[in-house]
Amino acid sequence: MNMRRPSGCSATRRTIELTSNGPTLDRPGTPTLDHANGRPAEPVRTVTAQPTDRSTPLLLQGQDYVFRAPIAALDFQERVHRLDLVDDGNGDPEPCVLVLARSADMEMNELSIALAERGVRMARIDIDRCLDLSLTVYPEAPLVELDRWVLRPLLVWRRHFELAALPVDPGTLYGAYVADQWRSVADWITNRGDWAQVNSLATGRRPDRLTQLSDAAAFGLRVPRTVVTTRPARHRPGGGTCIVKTSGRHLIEPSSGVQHGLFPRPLDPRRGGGSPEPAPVIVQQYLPSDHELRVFVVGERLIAYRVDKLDPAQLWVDPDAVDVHPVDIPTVLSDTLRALARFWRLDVAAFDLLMQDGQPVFLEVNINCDWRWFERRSADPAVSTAVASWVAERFEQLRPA
Amino acid sequence: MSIEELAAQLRSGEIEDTALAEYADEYAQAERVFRNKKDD
Repeated sequence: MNMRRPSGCSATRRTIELTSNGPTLDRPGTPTLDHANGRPAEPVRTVTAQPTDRSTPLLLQGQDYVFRAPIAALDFQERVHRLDLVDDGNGDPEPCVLVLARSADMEMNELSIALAERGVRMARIDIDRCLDLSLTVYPEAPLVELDRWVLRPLLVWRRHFELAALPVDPGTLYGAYVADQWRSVADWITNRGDWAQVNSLATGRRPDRLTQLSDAAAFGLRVPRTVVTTRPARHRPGGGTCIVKTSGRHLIEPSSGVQHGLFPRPLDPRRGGGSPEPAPVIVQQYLPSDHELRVFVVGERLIAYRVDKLDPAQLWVDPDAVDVHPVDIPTVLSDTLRALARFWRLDVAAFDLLMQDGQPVFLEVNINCDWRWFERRSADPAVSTAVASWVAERFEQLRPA
Repeated sequence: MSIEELAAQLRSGEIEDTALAEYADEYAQAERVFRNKKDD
């Protein structure tokens, strides 16, 4: 194995780069030796928050949405067990639904109550509350010790367990270490075959936003013309008006709990013609529509909402101006969406579609979907009820006789 | 008390335990904070 370090690379200097507030082996400004050749090392390569010689990326321009998500323990079952309000059983491992999420995931907070009503134990690992967590997971048996409880997860659901929500500074050695450990362990937990998964990561395809488009087209759905590019001003898929979208999440979290919106916006051909974007974006044909559809798939059940809004970002930035109504969708569309969900191994997900001249146009499927927003506007907890029922039924199927 | 009975108390609002009542208040406050939150 070739272990030789590239010329000019210093392991000691690398430690300085990673360590902004932790222990340091030497100090910036202090000459260090490149151990390979005994010469002073090259200047340290530094990272700037945003290079001053670059314009602000298109998707960061004019985005005023910032949400500060408080860290709060809101899981009902966790609370009543901690308060010793409920009998802890006979000490045998207790079958449970294990959820990896974040404390502000109100869908999962509601699920905890709904499963309690059904007598189903749910346990929780929140990414923003995990620094002081007492956790042991056994590789040779499907058992977890979470605080003082020994649990036998039958069903694991990972959603909104984003490492960006870890309350650490990822630019420090400590932060990078903690994030890397949780990443690898969470991936292992959500890929194990000795317990079942919601939206099976182990066997599913978990499609990114771009793969979704090609898969949906293969299932016969119309999709907008799309390119992915660092030069958005040079492209007009479809030839007319276009929008710019993120290829990743709609909310990014530069520090734990602080979420900035990255919402779709019209592509202004006068902007972005000079230097390339620092990261590729989606440029997509804008299709005028009669309305949009949000269709939740919960097992084999579909729950659809008609969404009337003025622009793509209104869902987040002006939600009270958006009209939401339950709606029935054509059988042929239902069948296609169920087929796509099966293809992607999705149990709970949400499709976004446009309706143009009565025909559906596929936009995306959200695997970490939120439904309470739609339920509030339609005054009907249909999805929450369906999700709780589906999880409870799946749990009973998996429970040993 | 069983977890089903505790959940039923929470839903009905007829809560006997002080600590559970505090949780109910925190939860109701969080519901208001996250009323317009949509994370997908």
